[in-house]
Amino acid sequence: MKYWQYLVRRLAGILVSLVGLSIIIFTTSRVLPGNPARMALGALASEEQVQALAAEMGLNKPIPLQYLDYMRGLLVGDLGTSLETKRAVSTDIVYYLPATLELITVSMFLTVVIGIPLGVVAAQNKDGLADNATRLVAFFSVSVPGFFIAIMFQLIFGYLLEWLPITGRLGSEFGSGVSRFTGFLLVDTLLSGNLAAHVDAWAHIILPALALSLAGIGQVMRITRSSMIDVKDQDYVEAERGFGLPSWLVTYKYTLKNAFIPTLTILGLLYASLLGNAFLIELVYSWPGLASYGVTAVLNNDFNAVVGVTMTIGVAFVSINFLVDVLLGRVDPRIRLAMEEAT
Amino acid sequence: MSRKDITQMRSQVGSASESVRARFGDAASRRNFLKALGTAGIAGLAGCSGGGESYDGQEQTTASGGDDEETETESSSGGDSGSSTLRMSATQRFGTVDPAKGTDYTQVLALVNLYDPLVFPDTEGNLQGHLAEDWTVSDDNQTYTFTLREGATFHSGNPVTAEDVQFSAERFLDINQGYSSLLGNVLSKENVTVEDERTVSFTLDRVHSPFLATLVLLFVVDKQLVLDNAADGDFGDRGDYGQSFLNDNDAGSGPYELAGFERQAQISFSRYADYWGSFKDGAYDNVTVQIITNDPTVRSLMKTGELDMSSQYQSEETYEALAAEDDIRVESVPTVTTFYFKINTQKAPTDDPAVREAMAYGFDYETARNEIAPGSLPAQGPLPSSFGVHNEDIVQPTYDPERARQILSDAGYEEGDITVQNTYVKDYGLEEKMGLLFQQNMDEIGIDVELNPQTWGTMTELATSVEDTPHINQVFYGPVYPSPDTVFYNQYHSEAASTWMSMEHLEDENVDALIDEARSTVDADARAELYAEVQERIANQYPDLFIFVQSKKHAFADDVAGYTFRPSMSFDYWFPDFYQE
Amino acid sequence: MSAESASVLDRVVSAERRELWQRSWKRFTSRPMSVIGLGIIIAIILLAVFAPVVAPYPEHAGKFTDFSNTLQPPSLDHPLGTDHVGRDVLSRILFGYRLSLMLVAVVLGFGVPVGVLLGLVAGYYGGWTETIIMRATDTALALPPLVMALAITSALEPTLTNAMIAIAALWWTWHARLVQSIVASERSEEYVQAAKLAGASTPHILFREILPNTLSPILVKVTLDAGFVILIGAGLSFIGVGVQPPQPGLGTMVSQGTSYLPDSWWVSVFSGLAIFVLVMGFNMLGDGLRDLFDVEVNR
Repeated sequence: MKYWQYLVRRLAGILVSLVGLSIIIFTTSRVLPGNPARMALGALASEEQVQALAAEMGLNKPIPLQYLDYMRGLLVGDLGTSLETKRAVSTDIVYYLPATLELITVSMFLTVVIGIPLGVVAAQNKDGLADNATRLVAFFSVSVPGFFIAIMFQLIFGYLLEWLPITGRLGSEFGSGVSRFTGFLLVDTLLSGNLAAHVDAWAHIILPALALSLAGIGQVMRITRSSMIDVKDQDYVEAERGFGLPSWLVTYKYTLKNAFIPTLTILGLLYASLLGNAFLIELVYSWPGLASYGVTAVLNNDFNAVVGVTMTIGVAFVSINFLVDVLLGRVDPRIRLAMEEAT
Repeated sequence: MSRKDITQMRSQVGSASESVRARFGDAASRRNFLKALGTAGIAGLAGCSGGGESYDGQEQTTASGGDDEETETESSSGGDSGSSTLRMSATQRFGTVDPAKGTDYTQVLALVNLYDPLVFPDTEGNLQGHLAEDWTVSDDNQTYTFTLREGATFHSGNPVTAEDVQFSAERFLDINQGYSSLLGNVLSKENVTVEDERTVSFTLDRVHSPFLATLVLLFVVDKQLVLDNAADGDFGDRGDYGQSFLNDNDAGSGPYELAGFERQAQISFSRYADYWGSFKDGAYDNVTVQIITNDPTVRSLMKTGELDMSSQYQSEETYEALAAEDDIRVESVPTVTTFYFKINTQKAPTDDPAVREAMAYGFDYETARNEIAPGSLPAQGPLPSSFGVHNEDIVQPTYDPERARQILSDAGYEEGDITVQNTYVKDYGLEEKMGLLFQQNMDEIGIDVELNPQTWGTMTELATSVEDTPHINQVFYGPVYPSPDTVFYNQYHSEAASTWMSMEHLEDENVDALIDEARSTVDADARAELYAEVQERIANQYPDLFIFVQSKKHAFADDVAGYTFRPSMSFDYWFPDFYQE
Repeated sequence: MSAESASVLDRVVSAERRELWQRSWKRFTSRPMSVIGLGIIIAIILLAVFAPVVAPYPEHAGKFTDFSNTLQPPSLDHPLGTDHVGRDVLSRILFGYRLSLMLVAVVLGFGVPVGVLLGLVAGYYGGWTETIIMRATDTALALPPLVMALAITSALEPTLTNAMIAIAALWWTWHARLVQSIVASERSEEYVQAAKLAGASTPHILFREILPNTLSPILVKVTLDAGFVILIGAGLSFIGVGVQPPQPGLGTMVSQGTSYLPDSWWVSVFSGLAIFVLVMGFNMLGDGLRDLFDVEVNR
């Protein structure tokens, strides 16, 4: 079928799945034990007050009606109020999201910067020492639990060597010197002109980002390696060599560029999967991002927040996957088909 | 390098050419920690809304936009030169700072500093004048007349008058949450009378001996400020009584003002320069209380000098490690707080007194005290022994598995018949260990135990209904006002049921009657007899396992002095006590 | 065909099969990593199965406390040290492997058959059947798996069983998609058409004709999945919604150990390493199988 037809179908499919997700999450969150109205008011509230608030929150309506109310609110951006922070969930999410996005972006950056060159090296030394070494590293990085490596980093770089801080985003002494413009510390510290804070922000983000990027590095390495090997053997590469082009040029400008497509696939998918892995890393490093907010919400039966966070992550996850499909479908239809079954 | 070096070095921060060690040496940040296994009811996230604000955690959360009455936000990081800051940690969130609603240890911690009550307990529990200079009691012991001291003002600048006291009482009773039931049962708001600008009287419905003690929880609010900020609500021309305002703002006259409030993360205070009382030399200009549930974080923050005082709920290992540091000391002080396993007496199978008795004799109290909570004191019945009216003759069960098994088989139970749930605060090492010990002990006598860690918020929520309250709940409870009545009424009187303090859901007419009688007995000796009897009555029903009496431990930086214990919850966290050496 | 020639044919066929097996085995064993992976998995399975016998202190995996012995560093008595309640870490890890392997068995044991079945049906019939089933998989995959499992487990009580249910409820989707795509491309193949013409029933076509062609990718995926399932299970336990005390969940042990870092590092470190070794074993094995079958499976 035509490409754009395919896209439209995909988009419709996504909407269906998001609606399905919202139904599942909404229903399960209403099943959570505890009376949200009472939790909001506190343990010593009188019954009348609890009933009054429950009626106000619409808790007495049947669940399908509550769901419709919620969806109506969703369309205008109203995600309800968090029982814990007593603020609008949307405000909370807007506040905590940049921290997570910043972490994921730096992770991606590290994945690319470390993974691709290593993959290239492995490809060039096929079956040699470097290749086998990187293969081992790749195995390692995919097998080790993210939260474990995060803890090991804390142990080694924080406690043992005392090189880097192990919790939070910024040392407390910088708090007042940095203004919040975007929510991305690395940006805001520069915008506030505070160079020392900027360096400190890097010091705080490097360990969690590295821990988060590890699994991705392994995958990127291997994909880069295998696609480089595939391409290397192609005729046109031989031809270029025959023309006397220097080998580094051949490698980077031509081979890598074409080999990049499968790698791009992985990167796109990675960005989405990082959203999931970020949860555990954020917890270990007390990173004040969406994951921490979400886990608190789950543990405290803050059902509006749970639904809000889940939907946000769901939308982001699905959107990124879709974008990747679109981009790559444009570039190489074979990949489009392959990805349908792989996700 | 020592804490002092680091502190000094940090105050010279600014150039990027600092040594790597100094800059990267601090192992944590003020951002608080949400541990994976949940919290004692809180998350560790600071929340700022809007743009253009700093990352300083002291920013006010704007729950509803456009609060003009926000108190000033002040930066109080330790690096400021010229102003001193005491940085403490707490383990559970501050649900609210509304004086009519606060009940748990963090809420009262805030309230006791933002507001003044009429009277204040000393280290023995005796009541001293505070906002009230003096008072008289009528002959029939039902009317209390207070004379307010001169010159006391609220943080807003308004003077403290008798009208404010009357308003505070009315508000407390009308909103009907928090500890208002303590007063609500004996006082109608019509009977709070303003005699003149500095005189107010309370006429009780009947004689109530703990009345004066319960007044420590009546915090006086600024009537004018509250009414100016009242939103629409159910209280007629008083609107919502300022509830949404007071949820996040302060209308008090206390020694410290609210400087910033991040519900989940931290709360900060700054000294009120025009306070009627005097401050010691070296008193702190600012105080910050951070919520930190994770022990290693507390430890590393104290080591790097970013925290001056720990909470009382750290693990033993943490206290040991901190005590070994050069510039940190750990102080332990005996309290009148008991650690209970509160047993739901209305839910099978723990509604059978035999089962409760068996559990009481099946638990290894000594191991619990010596290994899990070293330094704690033995418990004997529901009232700690340092209370004068403690009944020495109460039989405290000892670890006797044989006897426990006997009790169970006599009552017709076989091994595996009984399954109970033991609930405790997630991620609190001490309670988890207690749970595991209990599970093992009960296994020996044929009772199956399911462990059920929850957040503190969930535990308080579960307490509100009999069916939802788990069989066994691990709770620390100490006097919330300086009178033995607090131990009995809040926990065992059927009127006070369904709170985290009364998870026993005890419904015993005799106990109720004794407590009521003690309340209307003015003669101290007669009262002591009644208290002795009620202790025995309660103990005989085994509504709890009385595990130990807490020795409160805090880790202090060496330059923090002044901690003073008072037998009323969180009154030992009165900031004017503390000063910097 | 006479009986004689039939048996000759049989023998030839079985001889061929044997040769295929032998060649496969040789190919497999020529790669050291695959062999190591297989070895690790077999070793751990044996350890887990015989844990009550092999573990030095099997009772420590259950209701046990010994407060005089808490947080002991590794020693001869306790090769991996003791935890904050005095339990032997090594024994708990061995029993923890039981829980992990059980998780894998349940999740995959439920998820794979269901997913394969649905994938077969969806791929073969196409049309609305396919659309409905595939949309369902989309919904289940709308969230990163850990987040989805967390959301579902949190609605139920946080127990191991519920965690297993939550993860299993997700897992069928991947296998469904994998099988669906293979079947969708296979159904137009000649042998399928031939079977149809010969009047074969649908179940026969599905199970005897098409399914065998999907087996090798499924097998590879299952092996690689195992590691992933374990990581998700450990993640849930780490957060606190999986295994409950006193069960020796490996993720829970890592999490509990973090309160005692850095002095009593052994609890977190050894539990984490245990997870790592198990997952690594499955990944190595899966990688070897993939090379063996020369299958393109994106994991």
